[in-house]
Amino acid sequence: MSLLVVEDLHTHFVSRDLDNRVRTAKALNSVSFALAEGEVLGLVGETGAGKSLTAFSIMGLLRPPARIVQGSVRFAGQELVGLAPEQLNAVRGARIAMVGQNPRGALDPLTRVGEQIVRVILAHQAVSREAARAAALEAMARVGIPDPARRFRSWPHELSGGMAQRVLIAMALVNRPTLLIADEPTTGLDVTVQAQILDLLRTLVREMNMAALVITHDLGVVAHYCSRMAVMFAGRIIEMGPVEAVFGTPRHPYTQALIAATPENLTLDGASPLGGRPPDLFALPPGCHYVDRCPIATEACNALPPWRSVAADHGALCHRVES
Amino acid sequence: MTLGRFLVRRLLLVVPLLVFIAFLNFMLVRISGQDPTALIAGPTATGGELAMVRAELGLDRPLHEQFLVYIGNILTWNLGQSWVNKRSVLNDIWLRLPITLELLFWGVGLGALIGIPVGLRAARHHDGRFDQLARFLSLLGFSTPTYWLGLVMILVFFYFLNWAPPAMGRISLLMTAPPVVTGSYLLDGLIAQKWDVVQSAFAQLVLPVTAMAIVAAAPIIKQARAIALDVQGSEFVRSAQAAGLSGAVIRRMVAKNSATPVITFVGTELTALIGTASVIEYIFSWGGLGQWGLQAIIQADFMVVQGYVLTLALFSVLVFLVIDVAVFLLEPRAEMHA
Amino acid sequence: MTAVSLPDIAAAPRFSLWNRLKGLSHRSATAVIGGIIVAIFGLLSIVAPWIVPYDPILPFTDKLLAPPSAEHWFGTDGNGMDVFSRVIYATRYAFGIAIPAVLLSLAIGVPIGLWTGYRGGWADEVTLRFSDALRVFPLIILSLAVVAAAGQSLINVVLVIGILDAPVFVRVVRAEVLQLRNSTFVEAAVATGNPVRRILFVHLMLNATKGAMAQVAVRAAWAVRITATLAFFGVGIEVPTPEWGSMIRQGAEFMATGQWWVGIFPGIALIVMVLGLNMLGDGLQDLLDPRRRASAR
Repeated sequence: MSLLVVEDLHTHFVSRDLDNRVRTAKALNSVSFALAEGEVLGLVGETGAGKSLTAFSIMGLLRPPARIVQGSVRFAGQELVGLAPEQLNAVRGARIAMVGQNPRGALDPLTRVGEQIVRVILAHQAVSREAARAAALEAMARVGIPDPARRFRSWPHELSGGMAQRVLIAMALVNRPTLLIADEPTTGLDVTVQAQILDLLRTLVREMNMAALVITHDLGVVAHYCSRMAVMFAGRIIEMGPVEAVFGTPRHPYTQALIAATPENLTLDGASPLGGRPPDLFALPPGCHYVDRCPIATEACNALPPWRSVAADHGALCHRVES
Repeated sequence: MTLGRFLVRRLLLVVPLLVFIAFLNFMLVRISGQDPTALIAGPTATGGELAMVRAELGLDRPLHEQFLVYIGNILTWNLGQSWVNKRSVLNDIWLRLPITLELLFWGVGLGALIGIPVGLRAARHHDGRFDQLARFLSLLGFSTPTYWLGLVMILVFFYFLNWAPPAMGRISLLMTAPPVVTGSYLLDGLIAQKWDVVQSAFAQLVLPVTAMAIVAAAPIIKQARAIALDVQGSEFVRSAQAAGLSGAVIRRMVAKNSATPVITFVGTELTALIGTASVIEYIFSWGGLGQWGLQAIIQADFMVVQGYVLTLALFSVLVFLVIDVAVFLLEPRAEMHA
Repeated sequence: MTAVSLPDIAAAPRFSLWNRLKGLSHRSATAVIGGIIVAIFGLLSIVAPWIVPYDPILPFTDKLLAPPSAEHWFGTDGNGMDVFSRVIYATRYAFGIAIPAVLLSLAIGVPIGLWTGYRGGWADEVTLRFSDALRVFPLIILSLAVVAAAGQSLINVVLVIGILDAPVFVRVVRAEVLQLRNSTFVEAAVATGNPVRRILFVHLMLNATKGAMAQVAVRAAWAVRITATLAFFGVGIEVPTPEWGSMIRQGAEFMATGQWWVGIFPGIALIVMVLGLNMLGDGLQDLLDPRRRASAR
């Protein structure tokens, strides 16, 4: 059974311009995917493709003027779209946890880090302060923080980026969630620390048998840590399938370009189809959003492309792909 | 960095500031172009007597020497005497400062007690009904002249409704003041256990303190709201929401993180508010530093004006210092900012 | 699941003033209302001589302190002058002092802000320390004391308000220049050999004064307020002048004896005008605030 089912999710930024016209930036357009228990799905795409926005939409963290205008997010059978914050809080941080970018900014600067973990435990579990404290120390040890008793009393500004991310991971895991959303968890960290954090996440996900949604723009991360991947472009998932299948035989021209652009495949000849500007979200083309940059586009591509399955679990959103 | 080193560094910065304050004050009398000699020597003075007074005041020396003399005078606690009634300026300052501080304390205290929660709540309901009302009231407070507000309060609560006592000072004219301990009739009355004095002093305080609180609350609402909005937009609030922390916990978090900048703002705002307090004193015949100083400005008694402006500036310098130390002690990140 | 239907962009009309006003008021109703208030007062100040029922300094000696009536809408004051006519006429003094005072502040503050922000160094440091040092004085009291010292005249009022308020513009412009200094277009201007003067006044000024423009309305509100305060304390403006502060000063004497109309009406006019300017300024700051702009993208 699927743990998380996102179906036809549309998230738009709706505002009015100075001449009182409604302006809509269509940031997510009909995003659909499912995640089974214990599965690790990678979500890749360039900046502005809507990866983080997908996470925020699932977690109910959108701020005006962004809002979900259509679609559904079901977690363990429960609809999350439209839930009141109090009901959502029973899920967020408890059954779905999130680790974000910029770990140092994600910690409350005026609360000692241990207290912040305790706070998250007490928000979701009916335990005593002492028990919560013990659980926090245990979690800190588990994520590899040396000398947890001392670090418990640290202020966030005293931590390095990597250490802060470990604290946030501890905070995400203390309530034993069944789904972890990792939104570019290594942005801004030193390269050596990046690998440590990713390995730590993988170990914990396996040990605790969590499902994970890993958001990244780094194909290497997907290749190493995920079993399935979805490629996003201009607010749509344009290809999805098992990691080996997508890397082995990418179907969508954008995916092909993305994989061709990884350092080991870089060539010096010709213009890269990746180099172009992302499409204007205020005025998306009516058909395939990639049509302007696509090397193999035809007349047909000015109509909305269908989802073409090439295998039971692999497909792409493209006219030029044969089923 | 230790508190001691922080204090030394901070105090070193104050020295040039004090010289600047003294200079501006000194120039105030110079640009007035008024020669106090005749005022002080009296109408019957002869030419020789005038010259003597002039020499005594140092007015026959070049400008930079006069400035050094002025600095020397300040350092030796010699602020001169009023051109109008010959009273010692320093004595009057000591006598009247507590009276002003009492008004300022209650007024700003009440203003902050109203303004900060309103500002935080407005930020929480950004662009909602409450926020719009709070913003409008804050702008209205900004736009209302203090003296007019005081006058209207007297008209309504004294003349029409007869709830308030006449706006004639800090205690009913029929009462004898309690022995001076703190300078506040309210506290001195409590100490002397004269309940009628306490009651009268309280009744006299109500209108001016309310006026002061209204004027103080306007900028505090605006700034507390802006600060809280800023904190709410920061990443750690979003990550707290992602962790499923309840609204109450997040509210407390926002309030705590807004505290330091809000306190700092109220501190810097005290500079303007002690000016406001002067205006309120004038309207309510409060008899403190402000009424005394404004009267001196109106009468062109510049020796008093100098002492008055100097006191207000020193008060601000002291407040800024206290705020900086408080922030240094409260803020875990202070070492990084210093 | 909810499906929200939205108006169609394609159906948007061509540019029209009405739609622009509606669009602006959607972004910041405050700015639009404030702008309308200020415009009305501006209009009143222009047409004042033709619309007031009486000469503002004509005393009706047989009708001292007459309460509001059909003949004298706002009553008469202690000299028997018509309060309504005086309140309307006073808009001329409000604009007449606020506009030159703010222009003076701009004329002093913008060049200094541009120069110190661009050049940095000791001049910047000194200017910054100076404007910080000025902040320890309550502006109201300092203005009162300086005008009293400099001598009572309208010119002095304008000069003192203009000079004491200039640091606000220095700070705003300096901050924007610091942000712009390393931007591509400035580098390009330097690289193509433009003289500093040209870079400052052509390339930077237009870009850096946006923040200052939002401040203009706020500072004008302050100028109107402080003018009235000076007049209330009898500093700067002579007595029978139809000016709000000076009218409130006269009204103050009658407040405790019940002739409220002398001081109340000029006070209300003053508040509405200052409120209008403050709303305009506050709204403009919202419109120009990049963070707010970003969220309304």
